[in-house]
This record gives sequence, structure tokens and C-alpha cells, in this order.
Amino acid sequence: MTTDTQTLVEHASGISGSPRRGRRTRRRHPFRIGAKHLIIIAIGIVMIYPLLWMLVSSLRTNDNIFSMAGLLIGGSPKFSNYADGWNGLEFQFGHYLANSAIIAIGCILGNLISCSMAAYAFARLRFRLRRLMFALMLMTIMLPIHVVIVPQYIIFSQLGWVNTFLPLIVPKFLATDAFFVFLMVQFIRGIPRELDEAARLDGCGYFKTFFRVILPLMVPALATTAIFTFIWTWNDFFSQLIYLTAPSTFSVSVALRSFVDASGVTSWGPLFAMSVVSLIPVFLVFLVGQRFLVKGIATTGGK
Amino acid sequence: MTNSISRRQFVGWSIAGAGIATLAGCSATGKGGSGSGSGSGTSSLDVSWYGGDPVHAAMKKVLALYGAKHAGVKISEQHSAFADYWDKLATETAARDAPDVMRMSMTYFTDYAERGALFDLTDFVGKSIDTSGMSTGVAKSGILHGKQYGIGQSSIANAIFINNELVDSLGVAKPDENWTWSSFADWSKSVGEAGGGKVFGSGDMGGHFEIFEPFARQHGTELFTSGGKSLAVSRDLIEEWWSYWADMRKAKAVPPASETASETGFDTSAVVKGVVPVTFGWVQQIQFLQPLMKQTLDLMVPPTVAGGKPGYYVDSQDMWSVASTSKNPDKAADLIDFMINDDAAIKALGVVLGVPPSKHATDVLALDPSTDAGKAVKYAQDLSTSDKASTPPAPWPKGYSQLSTLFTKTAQDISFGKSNPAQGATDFYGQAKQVLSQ
Amino acid sequence: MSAIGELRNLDKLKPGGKLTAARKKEERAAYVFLLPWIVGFIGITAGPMLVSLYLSFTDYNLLQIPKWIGIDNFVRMLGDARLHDSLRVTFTYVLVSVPIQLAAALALAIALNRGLRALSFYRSIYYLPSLLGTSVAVAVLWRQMFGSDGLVNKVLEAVGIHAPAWISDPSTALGTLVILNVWTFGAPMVIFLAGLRQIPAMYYEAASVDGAGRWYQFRKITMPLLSPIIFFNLVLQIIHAFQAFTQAFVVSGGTGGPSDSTMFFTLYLYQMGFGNFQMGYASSMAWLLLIIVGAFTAVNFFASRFWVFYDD
Repeated sequence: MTTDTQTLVEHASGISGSPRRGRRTRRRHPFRIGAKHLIIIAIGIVMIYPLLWMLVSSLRTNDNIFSMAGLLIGGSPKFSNYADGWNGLEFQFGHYLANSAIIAIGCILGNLISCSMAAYAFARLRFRLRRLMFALMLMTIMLPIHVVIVPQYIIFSQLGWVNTFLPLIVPKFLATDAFFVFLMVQFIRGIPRELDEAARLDGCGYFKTFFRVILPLMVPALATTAIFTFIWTWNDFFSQLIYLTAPSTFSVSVALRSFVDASGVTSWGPLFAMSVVSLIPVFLVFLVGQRFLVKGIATTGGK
Repeated sequence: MTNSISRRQFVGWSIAGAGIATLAGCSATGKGGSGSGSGSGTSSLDVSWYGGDPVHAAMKKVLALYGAKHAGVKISEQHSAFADYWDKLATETAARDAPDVMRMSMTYFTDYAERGALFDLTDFVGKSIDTSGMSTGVAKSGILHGKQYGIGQSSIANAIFINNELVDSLGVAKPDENWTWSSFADWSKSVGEAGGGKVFGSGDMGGHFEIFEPFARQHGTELFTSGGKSLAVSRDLIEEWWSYWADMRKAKAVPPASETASETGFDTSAVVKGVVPVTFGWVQQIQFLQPLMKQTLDLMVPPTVAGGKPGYYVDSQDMWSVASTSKNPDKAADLIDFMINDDAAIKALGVVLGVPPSKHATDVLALDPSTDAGKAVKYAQDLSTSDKASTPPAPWPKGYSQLSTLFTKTAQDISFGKSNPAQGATDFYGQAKQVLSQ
Repeated sequence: MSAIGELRNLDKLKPGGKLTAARKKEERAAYVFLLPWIVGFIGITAGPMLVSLYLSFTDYNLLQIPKWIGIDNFVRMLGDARLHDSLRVTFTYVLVSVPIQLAAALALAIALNRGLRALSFYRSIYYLPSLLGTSVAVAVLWRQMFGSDGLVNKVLEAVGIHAPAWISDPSTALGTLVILNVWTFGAPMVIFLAGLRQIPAMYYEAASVDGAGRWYQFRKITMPLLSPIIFFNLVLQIIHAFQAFTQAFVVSGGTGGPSDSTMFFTLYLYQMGFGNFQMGYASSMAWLLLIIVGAFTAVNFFASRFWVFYDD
């Protein structure tokens, strides 16, 4: 298991295959390689095109948005779209960005702390009911949120937490994202047990072993968790729609959507501008955390 | 291990996390947990309304006026488009966090009132809320089961908006003021012919429950029985309505189904896009449509049934209500009275919420009948005394909004060929029975 | 015996099967580490699940006390034509978009696997849509793109095709959402890539030497060895697709239209529960969704023994 995981991780991080593969490639017709490159690039362009078009359209006038399918701006860039969009809702858009950021950071901390603790227990410690609890935990990955959203909503409204960020953040401190627990369990299983036992011999209890041995070695899994949590939370819509009803609490997702259906003229330029602004954080996190993302996906995808 | 995370660091991060959670809980809004109203001498009122941008602008002005006169009251505002408003209000009400003063639509009024969500304002009427200047229809419209749950804030009526310049440019004669549904159909077809597939006669109203209501009344029956527990209108009449509009589509008197389905707001409506010169709506909507158009819109009374009963009416379908969980009902009532009766407030609101509810308000506004607002007021006044209008219907029953959506959806199915008028009428009739009996 | 070995012996159960003091200590530690999860499981997951099961047998409008009505909600689901439509829409979405998405992911993964240079660049390009695909911003973009005067139609016009308004026509509106889901094939693709790299090159070598063609190699080597990962992706993407909400909500403006053609089951559930005050009915709908998703997953697991090949 250990070796497989590490091989998986190595390969996934882009190390090109064995030398034999290289030789096989060289034997092939260069034209075919060129054609394949072309097709792959073409598909890539088609995939990315909508995003590029939206980026360009955020600098266009409304008329141009509806008449131009290409990537030229068609006149001078209308930077005022960004200003209009920024001020287009009840609060400046930065307010919503800040809200989303608070939620995301809270969720990241919650997941990092609670999921690592649970994963350590599942992966390293023996206790009665371990198998049962692990199975239950895995099953919650498949649970549609809709089954629990109504009672959760009732609980949170009785607690007076509706219209705050608490319903979105507090569950993360209770290891409710079973996906990350699972991710970390798989990762911990790749850490040699001998290290644990060495620590035990040194007189470390379970807690010290967790802090001194496991956590430092889990950094890739922790990074993956942090990055994925950020992305999922930033893009989350349904829970935010339900729990954040006062405009001052709106996250980026909810604010953007209220922008669309705010009756009157749908000003697409400012709307796209704010869409671009809302996607930038995710994009940046992606750029910075790419390596971890791929490793993380690969680790769960493996056996 | 040199890079271990010490227990101290771990605890530190946990505290930071808890700190952020608390920050999140407190900072988001003052509404979280503590509700409105405090013991410190300043009370706060949450006011919420739906409408387009002109409504938002006007309401902000009015609330600023109120705030200037009442320094001890802090007002926080919430507003959204009509469709979104209701999802939000439902969740807020469930969380016992409903706004103190809310704009309430007849569409949902009974749903909220019968479920105990609205404050009984009966005791305030005649004291802190003065409704004496209101026309009877408006004053009574918020009364359900003998209690007053809403204060009518405007009169509205069904109207037709017509772009006469477009009609002229197509070489078609202006329509007759006293048109019947059949002459309306003929006229629309002639516009469609002149328009050659680019312009049609009228917007497709087949899915509009609120325009079907006058049609039913013109045929001698109300929509609902007096208890609101079932439909009073017959299934056959529903089929007749949908057959009418199906014929209109076939004759190119109204646009095709997908064009109608792409109307998502005022800016995408067919009349604004120049696809039709005529559309139906509520009279004050002229203020929202006109700014989006270069050509002038005029108002006309919609068609009648030859030899039928008067079907139209002028009543109040938008009201101010107070949440039953409000901590400041008396302040809320005070604000409502201000919005209805104060001269400065009346001027600030103009006609965005609808035609003013009292004669006094109309006088204060002294509107020039050539302005959009002036047109709307004159229209409502003329209609209320004409022979095309009669007593307004009773408040719409619980489930009205569901029925309205169902009506639209069934009409869409028919227009896209997934159903036909006969089948649609039977389906709708059966589903309506289910919805109303819940 | 080594120190480690002695340690292991210490941890063995005493005769009689009772836990040693060491094991008890371990168990206590385990429960401390698990405390957040246990609280979360009971308070946020299992508890609410039981409550929602209870609510599904009641008429509950959030404002008044739930009223027990027995199986009326479930009976109502049987006769609710709009619910059946939403099921049809959701099933269509799942059964059409997931296979296409996975096929695209697999095809691209295989294409990218052959030692192309700039692999990580292409991988990022393909992954980006799935990163952003569930956001409101992209749903908004989609709504514009497929509108009657949107980007897609402008491009088609440039080549002389006059296309209808995709999102205002019930026969094509769902298609735009299917395309959106397929567009996000980047995530499963990355997983396939990782899996492909795990297949030893020598299998392909040996097959080539034996004269096997590329297609044969794909069928006999790639597919079986990749099957656990295909299975993983299949299960996850199906579960994910059944729960789709944001895209339908934003593209249809919350209506599920036109003509309920984009009324995902979750959207109808949201309308019933959070729009129409019918939380009891919404709860019963949620349980129906759980049963459906569970059934699909169970069938997947059952069928897996016929086509998934584990080499351990």
C-alpha cells in the first residue's frame, strides 16, 4: 500500500515516464505528434474560451457584449464596468469578498484541525467500533446535504445563528467533511508505523506522536485540504443561499446571483466584471497550490 | 523533529479558529441572535420591500425622511426583486427573524397571515395608523377573517401598455378603446401580418393568472369560492382561455413560445425589445417600462367580453405588514402611518408603489397627467368609475402563489407543444384542487 | 527480541480477551481525537437525519408545530406530476452528462499520457473549468452564452447557422446544463491520468511485441487496470450529479423553467421547502433522493464485481 501510494504521488506530480517510453515516442511519426498537439490545443482553447470571453466582455459595453463573439474588446476597455459592478449592489463588492474570505478561512481552520484529529484516530489508533465508525464516516460522503438541511436549518434558527456565518463554519470544526478525513487517513497510512513506534519508545504519548510525528509529515495532505476547502467554500452556493439572507451577510456567490436578478436592466458588463473579480481568488489559489491539488486528487483516486 | 507543531501551537490555532468563528457570528450583522430592538434607548426597525430600482430609490428617500424626524430609531433596509423576495422572507420568517415592516403582496398575504406570521394591526388602525382617507377598497384589502394584517399602500389595476408609434410605423390603425377579446384578437393578427414575423400584435398572456382573473369575472364567475378552498371558475373556461392564446400563437398575433419564455425581467420584455407594441400589466409598471424605451407608452383598458360582466377592478394588492415576531410593533405601525399619510413621504414615493391609496395623496402629488405617474393615476381613477370595473375580488387564498406558478407552467407546456388546452385545463384543475385543499 | 517487538508484545491482548491497560489508554486517546467528529456526526449528521425522517411524516410550515400526517407526503409524491417531471429531468441529466463527461476525461487522459511535453500546462487548462464550474459566476456566464443573443448563437451565426434560444426552449435548456457538466471533465481527468501512470509500461511493451494493436491494448490492458479508478469516478460523479443545484438555479432564474425543463430534483425540493413553507414534503423528497442515490451507489458496487479488476 505504502509503495503504491508513493508511486502514485510521484507519477502524478508530472515526472515523465520511464526512459523506455521516451524511446517509443521518438519512433513515432512527427506529423502525428504535431496533429495530436494541435487537437489537444484546440480542445483546450474551446474549453477555456468561455472564460476568456467573459474576461474580455467585462471590459466591453453592453452592446458589444451582445454583438461580438470574438476576443477583441471592440473599442477602448470600459474599466468603468468594474467600478459600476463594485458599487452596483447595496454594499461595495469588497464587502462580499471579505464575507466569503471570513467564511473560507474559518472553514479551512476547522477542517484542518478536526479532520486531522479524526484521521489520526482512524488511521493509527485501535478502539472498539473503529470499523463501524469508519464505515459510517465514509457513508456520509455520499449523503446529499438536502436530507439534513431542513433540520439543520431548524436547529440553527433556534440557536439564532441564521444570518451569521456560524452555520457554515461550525460544522467544519466537527469534522463533517468526511472527504478530507478520508484523504488524510489514506495519507497517514503511507507514513511508516516505525516512526510512531520510535516516538513511543522515546516516551511520547499519543498526543505528542500526533503533533511531533504525524502532523509534520502530513503537510501535503493538510495543504490539499486547505486548498480544496477554500475552493469549495468560495464556490458554495446552496448553504450560503439558505443561511445568509440579510444583504450585509451575503457571500460572493449570493451577492453575484442577486446581481443577476435584481430587476431592471441586466447590465452584463458590470456583472461579468464582478464575476471575474469573484473568480480571481480561486484562480490564484489554484496557481499556487497546483502541485498539491494533483497530488491530493491522485492519493484519493488510488486504492 | 525540528519542524513539529507543538501542542502550544496547535492550541493556539484552535483558539484562533474559535476566535474567527465568534467574529463571524458577531460581525456579520446585528440581527444574529439579538433580534431587533434593544434596551438602550435606540430602537431599530428592519424594513424590507420588493420592486424595481425606482422603488428602491424612492423607499430610501422616504426612510431617510422618517429617520430625520425620529432620531431614536435606527432603520436597516432590505430589498430585492419580487421573485427573490419571497424565498428570503420565508426563510427569515422561519428563523423568527422577519423584518419589522415588510411589503406584502396579495399573492402571499393569506399564506403568511393564516400561518400566524403577521401582526394583527386591527388595534392600531384609527389610532397610530390613520386609514380614514383611503378609498374603501384599499382600506379593506388587508382584512382577513375580520382582522387587519396589512395596510393597503396603493391601488393598482390591470392595464394595457401600447406603443402607438410602433403601431403607426406598421401602418395599422390604432385599436378601439372598447375592444372585446375577439376584436383584440383581430387587431393583433393584423399587426402580426404587417410585422412579417418580426413584430407581433401583443405579448402572450396565456400564462398570466392575474389576467385570467378578469376574464373569468367577465364570464360571470370569480376565480375562487368564498372560503378560498376551491376553484369557482370552471375547467371549460380555463380551456377556452388557453385555446384563445393558442389560436393567437398560430395566427402570429403573439410571439412564439421561446420568445415569450425568454422574458425574464422588464428589460427583456417583448414590448421593450420592440417585438410587440402591446402588453398587459399592472398600471404602475409603466414607470418601470417607459425608461427602458425610446418610444412613448400609452395606457388602455384591456379587452372586455361582448355582452359580459365587468371584470376589471381597482384594489390594493400591495400592503405594509408587520411581522408577528416584531419587537417594535408600535414603532413599525408609526412608520407605516408615516409612509401613507405624511405629505413629504407621499411626494417621495410618487407612484412607484402604485397609485396612491387616498384622495389626499393624489391631491398632494398633483401630478401632470402627461407624465408616466400622472397617466397611471388618471387611468386608475377613470377605471374605477367606468362600467368595465366592479367590486374587487376577495383576498387571494393560501396557495395562490403556487397556483400562479402552476398556471404559468401549464401554459408554457401548451405553448411548447407538450400539452394542449384541453389536457392542460384538466391537469391544472386537478392540481389546483390539491393545492387549495391543503 | 528488538525493542519494537517487545512493544508489540505488550500490546497484545491478555488471555481472556480483555483489554490491557495499554489498550484502554489507546482507546481513551482515540475518543479524545474523535470527539469533534462524534459531536459532528450526532449533532450535524445523524441527529438531523432522524429529525428529517420524522418531519417527512408531518405537515410542517416552519411557523407552526409539525402536524403528524403519516404517509400522506409519500402518497402525495406518487401523484405529484411536477415531482415526476423533476425526477425525469434529473435522471436525464445524470445518465447523459456523466458518461459523456467520463468518456471525455478518459479520452483526454489517454491522449495526454503519452509523454507529451508541457503536460502540466495542458492539465491545468483542462482542470480550470472544473475548478470554476460550480460557481455562480460560471452559471451566470452560461446563461448569457446560451441565451437568444448569446455568445454561442453569435458564433453559430458567424458560420451561417441560425440557432434557437437554447435556454428559453424546453427541449434544449437541459442540454445547456449537460454541456456545463461535461465541460468540467478536468477533475476526473486528472484522476484518470494518475491512474494511467500507474500502469506499468511493460504491459504495453509486451503486447506490442505480440502484435497487439492500440485498440486491443486499450481494451485488454488499459480498461481492466484502470477499472477501479473508473469505478471511483463513476460513483462520485453520479452522486455529485444527483445533487446539482447551483447551475439550474442560476440559469433558470430559480424557476426550473422553461416548462420545468431544468427543474432539478434539488431545485423542486428547495422551492417546496424554502419557498412554499412545505418543509414536511421537502423532507420526504430529501429521503427519496437519499434512497435513489443509495440505490445507484449500491447497484454500482454490486455491478463492480463484474467489471472492476483489482490486482491485489
